[in-house]
Amino acid sequence: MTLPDIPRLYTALAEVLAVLVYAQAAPPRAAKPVTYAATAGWAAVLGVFLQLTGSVPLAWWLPCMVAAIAWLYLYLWGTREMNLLEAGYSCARAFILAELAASVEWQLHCVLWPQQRATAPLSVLLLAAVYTAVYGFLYWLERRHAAPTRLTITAAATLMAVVMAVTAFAVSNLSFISDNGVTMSVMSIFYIRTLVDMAGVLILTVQHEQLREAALHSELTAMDNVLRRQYEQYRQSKENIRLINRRYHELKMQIAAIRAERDQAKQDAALAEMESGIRQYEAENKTGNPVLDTLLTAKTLYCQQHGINLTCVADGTLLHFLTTGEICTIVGTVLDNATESVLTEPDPEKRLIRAAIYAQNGFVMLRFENYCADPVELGPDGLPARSSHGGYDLKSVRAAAEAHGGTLTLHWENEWFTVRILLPQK
Amino acid sequence: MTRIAIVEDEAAVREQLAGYVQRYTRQYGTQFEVTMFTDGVEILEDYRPVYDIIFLDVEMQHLDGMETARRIRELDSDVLLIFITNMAQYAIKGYAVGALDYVLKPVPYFAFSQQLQKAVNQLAKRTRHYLAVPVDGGMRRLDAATIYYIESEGHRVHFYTEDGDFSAPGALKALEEKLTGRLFARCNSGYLVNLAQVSGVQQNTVQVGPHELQISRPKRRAFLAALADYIGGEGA
Repeated sequence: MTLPDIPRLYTALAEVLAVLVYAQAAPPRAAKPVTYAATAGWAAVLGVFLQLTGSVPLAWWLPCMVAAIAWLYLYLWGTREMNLLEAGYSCARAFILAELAASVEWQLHCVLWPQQRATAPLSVLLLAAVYTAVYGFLYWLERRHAAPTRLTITAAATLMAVVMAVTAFAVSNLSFISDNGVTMSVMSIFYIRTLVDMAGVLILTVQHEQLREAALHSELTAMDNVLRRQYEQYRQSKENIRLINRRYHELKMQIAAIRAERDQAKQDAALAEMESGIRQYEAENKTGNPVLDTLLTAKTLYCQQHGINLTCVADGTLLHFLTTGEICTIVGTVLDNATESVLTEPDPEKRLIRAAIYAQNGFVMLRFENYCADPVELGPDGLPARSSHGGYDLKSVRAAAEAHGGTLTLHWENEWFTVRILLPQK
Repeated sequence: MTRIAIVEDEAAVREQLAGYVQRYTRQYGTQFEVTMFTDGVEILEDYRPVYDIIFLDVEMQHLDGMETARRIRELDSDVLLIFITNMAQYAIKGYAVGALDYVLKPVPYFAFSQQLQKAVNQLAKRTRHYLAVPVDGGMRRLDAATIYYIESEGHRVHFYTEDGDFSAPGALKALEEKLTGRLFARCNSGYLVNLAQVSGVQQNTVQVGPHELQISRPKRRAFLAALADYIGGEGA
């Protein structure tokens, strides 16, 4: 028995829904009303096109299919902030999902009431039920497993998705063409189609999950690196400070030697020289938190060497609830970013950094400001769009703040870049 | 007119800073009235809270800057204190007297001007803001600083303030627009909170004066960010 094939409007609806499910991976390019209007127009064109090309001869069927897929691709690329690869990847996933949904729905239709017309109320009810179930589940899955950051879709991933989609499509549809070139539909072929499409969707979903986990993993590694680097620096500066203390001891011996000197002029000259020597090491900080002291001392020394004017007012006793690693991450990273930024300033008088750590209204505030003549552009996540202010490193600072129920904000105003970290006081 | 006091025992530095203030006026047009003192004892003698900004040398002969600042704070909680020092170690304790900024000696003009600009901006933010609220039989003039929070109740809003609670017709959204930049933020769709009155945040609640309010999940991040900008913006 030959069965009718899927109505073209059903296919159109399946494709629209599938594209919308995967389009949520990226924010729209335009404002909401514009996006909605574009979506409605695009869906209508797709429906009309598929309906009109429903009964073209076999030779024309493939080009029409390609045109429809190109139309899906154009929508994804045109209305969402996707690059060409991301759009290709999402398009392949959407297409194969649409194939599966339409196939499952139509097979059920043919099993239950093959005599019913596609526009009959019962058919439409079945359509609504099946599509709601399939797309509802996929939508939920995408939402729940939304990647914390945008996935980087490589050419390889796109190629894999496209090859997968093409293969599934070819295998599922080639069986419709019998030896003599006439299309024929029987139940067994519907089974094959559903099965192949199901396999396609499954493989692409698993691949997507792997991409997501790889992205998560690399982000964790990056954060770990930040932590380790700051900790290494901390240990390094501890060593530096030990050396400085030894130098103090040597100075004491020198003083004794100068005392013994009888010639007044020579004595004065030696004292003056020593005084200027000491100035360099005048960087010790006593904030009430040994980790913060070490960090600040190290950064102060660095700043003195590089002609940076770093001023800091800090109540270190407020930070006792943070671990050494957390203090290194927060204070170290932010100060590194600030010094890096002011070093690009050609006028040494303008290399200014201010830091303040204080308590107010039951909160601890860590505020870091640095002079920065050029505006700092912030991305949608509130972190710098370019990496000059450590967009990636600041992510770990934000994570540390949020782990304590706090937050991090960044602003550029009046030629000053300000980082504020708020933590509930404990 | 912004009033500045400079407390510094070295005459040369005093003159230099006075010159910097004049230069700042030429550059930005802000007018200042400058009073000079040669020691902490001098400014504290018959102290009246008339200054907006005090530049205070940390190392002085008779009464050092820290102690001077402490005594000034007892008499004047509003004045902005900025230390001048050649020993950063001392200024680092400035938080104890609400002095979060200092300039290092020898004082370069640029660093000084930036510090002065920040202080001037901070003073500008302090101006009081009043709301005219329609109540039974007239309008009520409400100092925004006394508000704990405002609750939306259909077509009315309920004010919770230091001077008692009352309700008035109006919409929260309209009030939010009026109070923008006045440092109010929503902790959930129904409450507009005065950030200055927030004294603590737990996982899902915020303490506002005597009230404990729910923070909704979608508003939490933006609310904390607004709070961070408020607390980190005012500075002590």
